[in-house]
Amino acid sequence: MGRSDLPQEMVEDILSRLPAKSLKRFSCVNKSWSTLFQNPCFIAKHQHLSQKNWSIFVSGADREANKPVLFLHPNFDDVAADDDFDSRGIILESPFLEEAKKYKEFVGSCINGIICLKYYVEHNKIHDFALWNPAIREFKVLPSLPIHFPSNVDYEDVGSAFGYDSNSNDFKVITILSYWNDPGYYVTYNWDPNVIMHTQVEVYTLSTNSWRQVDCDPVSHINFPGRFREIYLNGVYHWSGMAPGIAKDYFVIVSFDMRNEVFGILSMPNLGDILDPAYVWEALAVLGNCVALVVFDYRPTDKIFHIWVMREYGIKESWTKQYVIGPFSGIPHIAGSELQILLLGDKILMVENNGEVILYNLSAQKIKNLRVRGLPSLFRASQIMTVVEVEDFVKAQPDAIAHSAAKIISRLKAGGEKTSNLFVGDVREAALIGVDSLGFDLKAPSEYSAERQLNDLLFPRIHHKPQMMKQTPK
Amino acid sequence: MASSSTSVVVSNKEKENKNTKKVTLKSSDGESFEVDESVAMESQTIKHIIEDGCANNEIPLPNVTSGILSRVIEYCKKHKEAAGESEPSVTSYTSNSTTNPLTEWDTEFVKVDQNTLFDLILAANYLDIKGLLDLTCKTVADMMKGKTPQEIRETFHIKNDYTPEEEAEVRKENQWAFE
Repeated sequence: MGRSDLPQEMVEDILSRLPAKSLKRFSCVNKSWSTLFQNPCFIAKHQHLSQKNWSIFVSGADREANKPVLFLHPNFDDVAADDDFDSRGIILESPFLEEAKKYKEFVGSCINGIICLKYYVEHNKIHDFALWNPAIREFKVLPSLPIHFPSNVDYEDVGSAFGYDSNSNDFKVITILSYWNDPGYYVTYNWDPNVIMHTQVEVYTLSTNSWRQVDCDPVSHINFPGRFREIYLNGVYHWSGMAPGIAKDYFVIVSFDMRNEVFGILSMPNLGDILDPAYVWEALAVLGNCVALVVFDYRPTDKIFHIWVMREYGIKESWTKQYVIGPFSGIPHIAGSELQILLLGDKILMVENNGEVILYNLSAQKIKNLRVRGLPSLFRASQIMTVVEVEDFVKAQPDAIAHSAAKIISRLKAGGEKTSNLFVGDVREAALIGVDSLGFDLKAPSEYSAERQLNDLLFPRIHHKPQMMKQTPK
Repeated sequence: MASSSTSVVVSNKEKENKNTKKVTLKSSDGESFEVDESVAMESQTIKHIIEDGCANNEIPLPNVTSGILSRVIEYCKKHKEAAGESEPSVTSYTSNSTTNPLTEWDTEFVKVDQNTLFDLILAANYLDIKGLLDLTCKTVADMMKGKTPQEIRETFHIKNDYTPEEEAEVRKENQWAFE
């Protein structure tokens, strides 16, 4: 029983719905299928159609093991209420350069299987970036950031972003820096009208392997408040920030479109009638395919969450208060920096630093309290769409790496340095990697990857640079 | 002839007055199916034919047999009904398939033999019915997930153009996918 009358178009449609693992297996069906799976158009279609497996991507540092950890969690549907949940993840040995690195941090989330790392090498003026494909354990160190400010001036790393331009099939890394033209300003903070804040934005594109400055005038006066207030949606990166107002500062959302590399500002909804902005804790999230905002007044012991959704992108009037949920007890009574909020489809997850999770099902209106064990001491969680089954990720065994590391390193020494030689300048190849993404091939390690221990991994969640008053240039 | 066409005109008017416009679809093997126009318009292909004013009395569908057409009509009817009942505000912002009330019905609908399934795909493609196409393709994809490459070749009548050495090489590269 078989059919050969299905048109090629239909066969491709069906194939584009298969998980990456199946595609890999079917590469040996015949040559034209294998070629098809490497075709960028097919890959794009595959990613677009793949099951919207919302998973939680947790990147963090394990203090004891001193290693980076990556977790991928499925929805917590199978977990009974009030259970302990062993987080199923792996400690990853990741390859890195010779020098001891400090202050490593993951930028954004995992896109098409690629992860972006930001790190600080001691004595270097400025931070560095690397792109990393864990599935084949290859990485690329980006060229150094060009510095356009005087060397005696200190800078603030305002924010970074990692994204994908679907028009040109290119990965991009964005870094936003600001600096005062008076190097002493950091110390005194005395308001001085002659001291001006400059903002510099650089965009790196994989296809050109170079940085390029972009115009940031629309947002140079905005204060980005820091981590965990970022989302990446439909090729646009968003941060929440504070803009200077006449009477007082007000919340805005800063957007950066990966395709045309343009900044924009989106308005937040009017929260004032319900919440006092001085005591509001806010987080950006994604709900449906829209920008969402989760806010609560952090003063009361029992907290009530308001979830707003911007139904039409960019239209302030389309902000709709979609849900009011709570009261929830047990949310830490602090300014909220330790709480991470994720929306996965119809569930809202509130994740605390100690692994306590409140899972609220919006449609069923049910709460589950979970305790997740095994999370690293510092972590950041974000929601991502995976193209690979979570089970494949989880089945990978960390021991395989530990034992193979020495062998691979010695092979590499004999064969010459291959570590920084990848993404061979061909963006198509980068897209290709996406299909293979997250199939952590730990049982049959790739020949060409180097593995080294990461020393001293610290994630600067606590690394605050104090917020400063930004002066609007007259 | 004249009298019958008159009666057709009259009955059409009656139907318009009752507000249930119908169209007749004719399968490749000559069977006619009368359905509500709104149901038939679940098919973009049929929708264009009607809107272009080419419908007249019957719409011939030479690519679809009666057995398949009756199933397609069943699908369209069911989904048209359900669309009329659902609340848009609930479904648009919780993009989770478990909130689709027809999931169970759809699952039963595609429990058919492979040949029928493939025919449904072809029909859904020809008639341009997105929901049915998604459903049937996904079903085939799910069925394929557990198969070996050889079983896939048999299902799709594909000739293996690898030499045994080449095939072994490809398998080795993708070893993890076979576990």
